[in-house]
Amino acid sequence: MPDIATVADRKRLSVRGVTHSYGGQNAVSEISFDVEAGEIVALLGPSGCGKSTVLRAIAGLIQPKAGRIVLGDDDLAHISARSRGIGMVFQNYALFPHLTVSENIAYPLACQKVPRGERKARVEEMLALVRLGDYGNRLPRELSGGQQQRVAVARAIAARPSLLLLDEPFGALDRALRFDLQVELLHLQKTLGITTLIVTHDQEEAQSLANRLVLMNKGNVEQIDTPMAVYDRPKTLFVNTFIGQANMLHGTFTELQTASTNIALDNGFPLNLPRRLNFTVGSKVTVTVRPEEVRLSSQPGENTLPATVTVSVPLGPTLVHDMVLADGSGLRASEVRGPSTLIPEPGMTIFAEIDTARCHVFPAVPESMPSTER
Amino acid sequence: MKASGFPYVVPMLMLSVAFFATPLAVLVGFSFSGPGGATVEHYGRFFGDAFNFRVLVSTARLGLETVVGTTLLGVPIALLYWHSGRTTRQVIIFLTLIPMLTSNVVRTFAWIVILGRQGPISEALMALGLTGSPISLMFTEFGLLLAMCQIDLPLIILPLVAILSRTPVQFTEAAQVSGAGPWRILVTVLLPLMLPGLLAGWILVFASTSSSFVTQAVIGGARNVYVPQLIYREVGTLFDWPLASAIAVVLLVSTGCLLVAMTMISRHRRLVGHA
Amino acid sequence: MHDFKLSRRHFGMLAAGVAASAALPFSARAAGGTAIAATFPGNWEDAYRKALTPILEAEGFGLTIAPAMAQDQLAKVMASPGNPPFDTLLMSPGQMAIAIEKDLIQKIDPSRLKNWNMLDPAFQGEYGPTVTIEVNGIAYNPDMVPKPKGYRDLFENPAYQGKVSWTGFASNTAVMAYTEMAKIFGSGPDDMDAVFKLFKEHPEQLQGVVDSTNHQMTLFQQGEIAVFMCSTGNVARLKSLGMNAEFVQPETGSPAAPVNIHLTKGAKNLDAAYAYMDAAISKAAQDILKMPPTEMFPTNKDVALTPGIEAYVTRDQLSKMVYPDWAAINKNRAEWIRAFDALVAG
Repeated sequence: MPDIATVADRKRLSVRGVTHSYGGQNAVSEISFDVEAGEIVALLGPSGCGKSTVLRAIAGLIQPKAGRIVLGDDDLAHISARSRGIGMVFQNYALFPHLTVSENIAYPLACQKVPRGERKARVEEMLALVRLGDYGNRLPRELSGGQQQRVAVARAIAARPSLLLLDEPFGALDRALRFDLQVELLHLQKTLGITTLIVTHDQEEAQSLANRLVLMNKGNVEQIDTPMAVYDRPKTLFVNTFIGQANMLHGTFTELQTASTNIALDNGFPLNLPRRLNFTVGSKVTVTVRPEEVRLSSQPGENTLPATVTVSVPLGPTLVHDMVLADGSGLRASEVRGPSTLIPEPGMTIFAEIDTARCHVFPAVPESMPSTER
Repeated sequence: MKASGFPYVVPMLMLSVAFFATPLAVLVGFSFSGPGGATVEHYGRFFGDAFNFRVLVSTARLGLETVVGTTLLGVPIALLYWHSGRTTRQVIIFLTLIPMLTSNVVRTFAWIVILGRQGPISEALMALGLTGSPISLMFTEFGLLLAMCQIDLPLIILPLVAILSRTPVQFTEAAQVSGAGPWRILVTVLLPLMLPGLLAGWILVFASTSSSFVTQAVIGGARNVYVPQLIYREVGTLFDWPLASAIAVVLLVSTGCLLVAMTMISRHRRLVGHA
Repeated sequence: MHDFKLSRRHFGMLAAGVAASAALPFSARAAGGTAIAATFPGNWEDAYRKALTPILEAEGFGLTIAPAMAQDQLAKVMASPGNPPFDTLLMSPGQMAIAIEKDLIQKIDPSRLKNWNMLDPAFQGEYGPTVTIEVNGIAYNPDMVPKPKGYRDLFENPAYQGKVSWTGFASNTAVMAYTEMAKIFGSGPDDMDAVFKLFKEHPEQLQGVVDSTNHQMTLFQQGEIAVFMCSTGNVARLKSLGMNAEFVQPETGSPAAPVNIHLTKGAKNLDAAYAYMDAAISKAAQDILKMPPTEMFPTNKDVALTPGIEAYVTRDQLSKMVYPDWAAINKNRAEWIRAFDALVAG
C-alpha cells in the first residue's frame, strides 16, 4: 500500500472556460475551477445542470466547444480519452459483465501493456485494498451493489491514474450503505493522495467527501467554496436554497443607514438588518432565513412575524416547526430541543423572530421559482 | 416443477404432438422402412454416394459462409444502430425489416437482375476496367452467398439490436477511459457483450440457409446443389421417399447438433447474466 | 361518432352482401359439384381458369384449378392414395406411364364426353383425352445468337458458347432433347453416356444448368441466356411478353409430347370432372387456347389452326414429329437424373 502512495503522482486539474452545447443549446458555459493536487472536489448541482458534461469533457469522452482543461502540465485538448491516464467510476459502475472481478480490475492494466506478472500482483493489491480478496473469480452480477461499487473503484485506480473521476458513485446504493462506503472512499483517497473530482446531486454526499464544492446550476458555476462557507455565505439565492433549507421572504428595500438596512416585507412587516447592503432604495429583494435562524417567541418584538403553527415534528435532537404566515406563505423553524423547550400546539399563534444578523438578501426572483430544483 | 401449470401447456402440447412430433416420427419411420422390415439401407445409400456427402458438406459450408457474411455486415449495422438517435434507429429497423416483408421469391428475382450479365455489379466492374467483358455471378456460389447474406441479414441484426438496446454506452466509455483503442473495445467489450445475440443470430442464419430452397435453386442453379434440393429431387422427381426421409433426418441431426452446441455455449456463466 | 356508426352499419351490410354473394354461387355449384383439376403452373393455369370456368359454370359445375408440375401432381396423389387431392391430372405420356403403374388413374368412359368424336383417334386415349400436342425445339434470342440448326450446332458453333442453358432430366422437355442428342452423338436414344461425355467435353455448357424451364424463361428475359430447350408454348409466352424470342425445329426433327387429362382413382366429383374434360376438348375452349399467349395446338378437328401455330407446325407435320419411347425413358430416368446432377455439380 505505501508503494501505491509513493508511485501515484499528484497532479493539479485546472478547468478554464469550458463551454459545450448539444444541438445549439448550451449545456455548460464558461466553466472554470481548479482541483489542487491530492484534493477532493465535488461538482454539485441538480440533475441537468451540466455537471456530467464537465466530467465527460475532462475524461475526454466529449470534445468541449471551447475552453482549456489542464492536468498537471498537460493540456488535455490533444490527448485522447484513452491516453489521459484518468481513472473513472461510472454511475452504474459499467463493470464488464462477461469478465470476472479480477479481469475487470486488470482491464486498464492490460490496455496499458503492463507485464502479466506485475498485472497479477497489482490486481491482488487492489482486491486487498477494497477488501474483496476472495471475490476475484466472481462475476459482477454475483456481487452486491456495494461490492460492485468497490470493484469499480478498484478498476478506476488500478492503473495508478493521476486523476480520479467519480460520477454519482453512490447513487445506486441505499442510504445505510452509502455512508460506510463514503468513509471508505475518503480513507482510500487519503491513503493514495490521488486528485479526485466527484460529481453528485446529493449535497450531504458532497459535503461529507469534498474539501471544496463547485456548485453548478443551469450550466453555470454559481459558487466555489468549502462546504461550510457555501452553507454560511451563499453567493446566490440558488446556492442558498440548494444547500440546506431556507425560508424565502419577499420585500422591498426602504431605507439605507450607515450600519443598518430596512426592508418592508410584502406581508406588511418591517425587517431591520444590522448591516449596510448595496441595494438601491425601492428595489425588490428576497430575504432568506434558514430554519435554525428563526426563533419562536410568545411575544411580538422587533423583526418578528405572527404565525400559526401547522405542525411540530421532533427530528432527533431538533424540533422542526412548520408555520403559516398571515399572507398564507409557509415558514419553517428548527431549534435544539432542551428540557424547557416549548412545544406549541398545532393551530397556536406565536411570533417568529428572524435572526437578521445571519439572514441573506438577494435580488428578487419571480415568486414562481421553486425553492430548490430537486 | 409445479404441477399446477400443466393444464396451461396442454393446448400447446397437443398442437406440437399433432403437427410436429407426429410428422417427425413418420419421417424418421420412413427413413428406416424397407420391404423386409426396419433397415438402415437408405442411410447406407446416402453416405455410400460420394456426391451426397459432398452436397452435405457444401450445404454446411454455405451455411457457415452466410453466417460469416451476415456477421461481417450485421455487426457494423447493429453498432451503427446503437450509436444512432431515434430517427436513424427507426430508419435502420425499417430497412432491416423490408427484406423480411418481401416475398422470398421476389427478393430472389431481384437478385437475378443484380447478379446478371447486365446487372450493376457487372457494369461497375466493367466501368472500373476490372473486367473486359460482362460477367455474370448467376449460378456461382459467390453470387448465391451475396443473395443469402442479404436475405438472412435481418435474422442476425434483430437479435443484436435487441441486445444492444439494453446495453448502456458506458461500457465502451469505461473501456476507452481504461486506455483501450477502438479494436480492443470491439474485441474485448462489444463482441463479448453481443455474443448472446450473435449466437442466436448464427443459429437462425445457419438454419435458414441450410434449409431454404428457392434462392438456392434459382440463383445457385443446378450446379450448386444443396441438401434441400436433394430432398426435393428425391421426393418430387424420383419418388424415393425413404431416401428423402433419410436425407431429411441427416440434415435435421446435423443442424440439431450444431444448435445444441450453440445453446450450450450460450449457457456459459459469463453469458447468462446479460443475455 | 355518427359517421362511425353509419360506416359500421354500411360495413355490416357490405359484409352480409359479400357473405350472400359467396354463398349463392356455392349453393349453385353444389348442385353439380366442383372439379378440382391440376394443371401446369403459369401459362396453363391462367388460360384454363379463364377459358374453362365459364363453360363449366354454364352447365352448373364449378372448377378449381390447382397449379402443379406433372411430377408434383404424381407426388401429391401418391402421398394420399385412395383420397387424391385432385379429380383430374394433366400430364404427358412419361408421367402417365408412372401413374398407370402406381395405379393412380382410371380409364374413362368416352360416352360421357360430347366432344369425344371431334378428336382424332390418336388423341382418344383410354386414360383420357389429349388436349394439345406440345412440340419441342430450341428457343433462341435473335439479338444475341444466330439461328441454331440443331443440337449439334449448339456444341460446335462457338457463337453459342456460354449462352445455352440446360435443365436436369426431371424436365420432360429436357429428357426429350437428351434422347435426341443420344441418337445424334451416341448409338441410340438410351445411350445417355454419350451425352454425359459430350457435356464433360464442353464444360462451358454446364454453366447455365438450372432447375426448370420456368427459371430459364426468367433468365432469357434478363439476357442471361440466349438459347434453351423449349416447347412452342414457352416461345409464345415469351413473345407475348414482348421478348425477341424465336422457335426452331431441330434439323433432326422436333420431339413432341401429347398432353392428356386423366381421371384420378377415387376422384370425388366425377360429373364435374367429365364436364371439365369435355370443356377442354370443346371447340369453344380450344378456339381461345390457340390464341396468344398460349397458342396451344388444338386437338379438336373443328378448330382451325392460326397462322402463328402453322408457323411452328401443321396438322400434316404432326405425324413427322419424334415421339419418344417413354417406357424406355422411365426405366432409366432415376439413374440419369442422379448421374446428370452429379455431373453438373462437378
